[in-house]
Amino acid sequence: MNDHGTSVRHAGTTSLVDLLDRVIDRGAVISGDIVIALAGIDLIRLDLRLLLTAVETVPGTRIGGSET
Amino acid sequence: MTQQRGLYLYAVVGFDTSASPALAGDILGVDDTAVATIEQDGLGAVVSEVDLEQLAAVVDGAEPDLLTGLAQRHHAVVLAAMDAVDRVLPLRLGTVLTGPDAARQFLDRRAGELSDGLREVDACREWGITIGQTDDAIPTAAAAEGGAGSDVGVGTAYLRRRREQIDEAQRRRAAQADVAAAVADAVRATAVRAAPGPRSAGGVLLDESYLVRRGSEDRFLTVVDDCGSQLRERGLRLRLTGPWPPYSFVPSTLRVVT
Repeated sequence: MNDHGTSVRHAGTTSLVDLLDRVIDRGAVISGDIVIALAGIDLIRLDLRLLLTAVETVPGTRIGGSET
Repeated sequence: MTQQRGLYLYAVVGFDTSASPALAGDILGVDDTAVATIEQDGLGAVVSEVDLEQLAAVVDGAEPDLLTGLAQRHHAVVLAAMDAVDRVLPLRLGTVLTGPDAARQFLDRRAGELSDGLREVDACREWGITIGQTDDAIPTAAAAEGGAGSDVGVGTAYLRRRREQIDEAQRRRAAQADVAAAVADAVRATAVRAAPGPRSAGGVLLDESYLVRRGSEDRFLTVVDDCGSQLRERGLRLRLTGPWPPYSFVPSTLRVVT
C-alpha cells in the first residue's frame, strides 16, 4: 500500500493553484453594513478565476504550511 | 466619508474556556500588521488592521502576485488559528469589517449560526480528491487492424473497426465512471461530510471535498491509498490535497445590519 501512496499523496507539497482553488470563493460570507464594500471586489472574485490561469504558469510555486 | 482603515477578518474561532489561546507565534496579517482576536462569549474574531487603499490595489486585480500574496497570508493566518484551537470557521477571502465594534456585533448577532457551524467542524480538517484521466494516452484495444479480408469491402471493414473503437471507448468511460463513483462512496464513508470540489464542473470524473475528523484521518488515508491502485489499473489518477482548514464546510451567508 505504501508504494501506491507515493503517487496518490503529493507529500505535503501544495501548489499555489491548489491554494487558490481552495481559498477563493470559499469560506463564510458576511453581508450587511458592517462590511466595507470595497469597490469592485465582487467583480474581482469572478476575475480571480481568469487569474488562476496566469498563476498556473508561475514556475516552482510551492507553499509550505498545510502539512501536518 | 471614506474610511482609511478597516479590520480584515480571517476566521471565527470557538473557545472551550473563557480565555483564548494565543495564536501561534507572532503571525502577521495581510498588511504585515499584528493579528489579534476579538472575543465575545466564547467566540473570537481573528482580525488584523488593514489599509483600505492598499487592499483596493490588491483587489484591483491588475497584479496577480498581490492577489496570490493576499491568499497566502489569509491562509497562513487561518492555519495558525487551526493550530491554536479545534474549532475554526474560515471567512471568505477579502472580508473587511468597519472596525472592532462591527466584529463584536457580528459575533453577537450571529452567535447561534456561528456556534452551530463551529460545532460541525470541531476537530475536523478538509481534504480534496480529484479523479481524472492519466496523462498517457489510452490505448484502444480495437486498434489491431488485421489484414483487410478481401471479400469484405475496405469501406465496410473500416466502418466496422470504427464502430468497435467507439463501443470500446464507451465501455471504458462507463467503467471508469463506475469506479470513480465507488471510490467516492468508500471515501465518504470515512468522512463527516462531502461537498463538491472547486472544479467539479470541469471535465474531471470526481472532484469532492471531505470533512474528516482528525481521529479518522488514518482510516481516510488508508481508503484513499487502496483506491489509488484500483484507479490506475483503469487508466485513472487520483490526486489528494490537504489537510486544509474547512473552507468548504462553513455557513454560506451571514448578514448583519446595524
